[in-house]
Amino acid sequence: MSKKWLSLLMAGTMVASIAVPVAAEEETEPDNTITGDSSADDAFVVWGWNDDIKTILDTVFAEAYPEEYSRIVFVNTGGSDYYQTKLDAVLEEGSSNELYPDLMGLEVDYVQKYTNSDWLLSISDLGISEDSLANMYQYNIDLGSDVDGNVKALFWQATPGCYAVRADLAEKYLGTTDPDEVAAYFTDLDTIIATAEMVNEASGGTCKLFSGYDEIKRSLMNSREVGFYDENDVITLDENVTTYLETAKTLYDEDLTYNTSQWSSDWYANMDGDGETSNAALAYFGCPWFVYWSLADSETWHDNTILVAAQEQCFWGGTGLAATAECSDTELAALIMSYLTTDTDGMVAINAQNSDYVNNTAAIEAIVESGASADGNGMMYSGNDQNFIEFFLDKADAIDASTVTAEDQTILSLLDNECQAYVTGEKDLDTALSDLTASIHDTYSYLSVE
Amino acid sequence: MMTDESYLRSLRRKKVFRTVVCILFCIVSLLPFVILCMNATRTSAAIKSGLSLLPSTHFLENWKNLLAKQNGMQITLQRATFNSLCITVPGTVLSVYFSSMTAYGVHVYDFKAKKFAWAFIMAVMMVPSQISIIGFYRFMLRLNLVDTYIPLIIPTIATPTVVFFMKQYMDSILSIEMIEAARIDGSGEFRTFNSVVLPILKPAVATQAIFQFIAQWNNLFTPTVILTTDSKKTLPMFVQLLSSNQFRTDYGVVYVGLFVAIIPLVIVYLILSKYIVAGVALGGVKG
Amino acid sequence: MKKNKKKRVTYGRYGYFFIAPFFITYLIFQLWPLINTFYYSTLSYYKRNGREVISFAGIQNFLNIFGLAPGETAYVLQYLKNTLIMWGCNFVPQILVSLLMAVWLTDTKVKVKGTGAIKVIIYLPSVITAASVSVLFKNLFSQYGPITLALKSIGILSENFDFMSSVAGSRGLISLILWWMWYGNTSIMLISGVLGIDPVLYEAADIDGAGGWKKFTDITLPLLKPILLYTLVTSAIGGLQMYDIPALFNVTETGYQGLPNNTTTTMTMYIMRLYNSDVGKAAAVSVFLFVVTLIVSLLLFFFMGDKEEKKLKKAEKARRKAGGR
Repeated sequence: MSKKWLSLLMAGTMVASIAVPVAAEEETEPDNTITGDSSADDAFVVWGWNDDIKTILDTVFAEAYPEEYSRIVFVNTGGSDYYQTKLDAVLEEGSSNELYPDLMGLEVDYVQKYTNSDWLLSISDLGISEDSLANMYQYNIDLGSDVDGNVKALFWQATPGCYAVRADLAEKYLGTTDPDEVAAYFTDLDTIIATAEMVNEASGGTCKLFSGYDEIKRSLMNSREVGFYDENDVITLDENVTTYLETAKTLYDEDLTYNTSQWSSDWYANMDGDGETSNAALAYFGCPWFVYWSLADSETWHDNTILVAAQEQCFWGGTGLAATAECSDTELAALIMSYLTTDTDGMVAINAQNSDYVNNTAAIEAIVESGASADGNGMMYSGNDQNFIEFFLDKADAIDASTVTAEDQTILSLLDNECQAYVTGEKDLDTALSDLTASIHDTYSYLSVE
Repeated sequence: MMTDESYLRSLRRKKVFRTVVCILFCIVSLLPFVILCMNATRTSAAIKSGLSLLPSTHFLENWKNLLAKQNGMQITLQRATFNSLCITVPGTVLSVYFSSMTAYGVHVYDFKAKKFAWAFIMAVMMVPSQISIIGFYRFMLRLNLVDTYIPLIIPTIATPTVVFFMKQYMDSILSIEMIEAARIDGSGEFRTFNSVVLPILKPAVATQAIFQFIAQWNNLFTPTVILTTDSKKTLPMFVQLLSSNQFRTDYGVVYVGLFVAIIPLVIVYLILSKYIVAGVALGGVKG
Repeated sequence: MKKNKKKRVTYGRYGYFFIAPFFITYLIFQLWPLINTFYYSTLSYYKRNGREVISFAGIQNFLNIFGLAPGETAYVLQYLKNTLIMWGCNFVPQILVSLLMAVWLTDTKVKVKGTGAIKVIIYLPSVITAASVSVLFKNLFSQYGPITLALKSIGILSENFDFMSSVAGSRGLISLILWWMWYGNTSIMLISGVLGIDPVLYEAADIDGAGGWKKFTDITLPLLKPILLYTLVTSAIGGLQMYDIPALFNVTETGYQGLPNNTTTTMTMYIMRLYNSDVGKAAAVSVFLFVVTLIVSLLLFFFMGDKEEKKLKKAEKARRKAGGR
């Protein structure tokens, strides 16, 4: 090893070790998750965990404001599980990072964390008046506000919960496709269990009411009377948590579902089963976006969906838009947020694009009047005249989301662990409940036990 | 005569028995790799249907599917491999070079703190880096080094185990006369180290470089804490993605991904196995 | 004489230059973070809604992690137990198989052919990325995994057995992976240990008519004791930091909860779960891990009373091994 050779190697190493991270940053490989050129001077970065926001920007917003649209760079983080981790890292780093979001999507399960952080601008900072929110559903305004009532995140959709039932399987195993008659099978949890038993028996196990026992989780969790902790930060478990565990155990013990977990590949697979040679689920818990975003991926459900009310008045999800503290262009942020969440025309256009149930009562009136989205983008079963938008009218009016907390996403996944341990018989009910409390406290030490 | 023959026969029986057991252990060690290779050539449906030790013809198809799935991602298998190289190569060079230097400093020179320095190095050999990760992460955060490769590369300058190994080697091979001869020739201390000592240490340097490369290549813990941007992730972090929702629906893709992550390492190992196994044995001699 | 000494002193200062990079780097990147970790463990330091909330907490974090404060659960002890169980179930068979290999592969009377090849093959798994190995085994043993299906088809497993929802199944597989990765390494170390024993001892035993077992218990085992102890302690230190394999094997989507029901969660997984959200608690867990590791290391120095250098030479080997865990 000659000296020259060695010093060359050393020098190379030192240079490489310093230059590599920089190089890695600069040569962002072409890929589909970041759409647009983030290095442009006037780049306006929008973050989301899937392409829902992107689709709306690409269509509705692009059409109305093509020039502004061309500046948008969209970052899709690919899945919501690590969205907060990725987002927090960039937010902490600040706008020195090229991918620092100017605007971002926030899901109901954690939107409160961000509205109560220092990372967002309030709409008054953006110059959006509170009056312009007049047509919004109040629950969405509350979700987007911090504890002092400053509105920070604005929602373009309302998300009343329901069950989506597959018409062909309903015909076969429930003997009807009439929405009212089908709804009678979902009136309360006992009825649902009886229905599940009936379907299971009639099909010999190749068709079950639900794909997994967690299909009833959202309806029970998003209709709680108390949140996961009270105003003194003491952990509280609503009765619905117990009800959920008990019902899930019944479904598990009697083998009434395929025990899949929501969003798993098996869960998706059960959407497309034929119920004879391959396993199929008759119903999925749903809401407007679930129909156009998730069920629509399955050909089987097109012209084959019946909607029935969930056994509890509930809601599921929803995406808020919020501008960040170091937003590079508050005017554009305000424009996007106003057009997509407060402007009646903009929101009618969103509905025209994806049939969503928008967060604007005036727009909804106009949509009902025009008869748009009546068939839910072709998803609704044409054998009966169920109107997709009208179905949700009274359900949207009644939504109460006051139990939502900043930590819901994580707490609900902790609940999944305990639920699995309980249904499989590893723990009894009391242990599962106290372990849930303990694990919430373990994860968030500022939430206390008793 | 009779006893001799039966003794020989029992020896032969023993030999056969032991050979069979050893072969069984070899099979246990190799079987997962064989299944991996075979499944990388089979379709997802075929893999799901059961175990087969015969190859199929779908390797390229699986590879194309992997590329297609990666298409929507900021981090790809190729990119992750490149990233891992960017960290591991400088890391290996730094650790081996500076460890040799440290060992040389302690071996050759007499200075006040020599005893303390050596005792310190040996004491900290036992302290795993995982323990200080909290302080490490917060400190890197304050230095603005989170999400860069610097916290993964520069700390390798202080690798106590390599220092120890190099010192052992110097004890057995490096005489002070050699160095004094170089001094008489007018060579400066650092030049002596670089141009006289390092070449002598070559065998030990090579062995340690191999082991350092393996250790740093396989590291998952620290990169997981330090790197947040997808496009900077390392190979072990990419492998973690293989078991996430994005891939796990297609078994063929998962196996082909693992194949590409694992098999090159196996091949390199087999090429270097002589040195590696000898290096391991060295650690155990003189019990 | 005096002149000579003076010369040495002049050169002596170079010693500091040569060791400086090591010490500076170590102080900055290891020691200072370690000291900070101790400091953080005395703080109540967590994040809420993206804001850091910091206050002095004394020993409260330690009371909390050991379940000594009201409403607290001693998760750390549970995870320590998980770690020790999974490590122990790998170590016992590992040392037994390695001893067997060491005796057989060094036997000069009953020579097994291809010793070199055997060594190369059984060492192979330990150079492979633990993360990849973990994901590979997860796929081999999942519900539709080839090995699970094979075991079911020959009737060893019942039809609806699922490794991933079984506590013994999940822990057992993690131990199996650890064993599979490291028994080759230990075997090679013990082989060279046995080769280092003076053959004269065995010849003398042969003359006395000692059998194989007697030679093993009277010569091999006592003389291997230092290496065995060394393997034990260093493997235990590595085992305590166990991360890569359980963290990728059977965990929840959002990570670091070892399924089923946290029975495969290890201490380092716990630290990883908390490191960004609850710094104080994560630091307290780290300090506890440090203390446990220290105790194990001290046991080593206690047992290994003889020559310092020899034992540390072996430590080097096992440390590399520990690093891989």
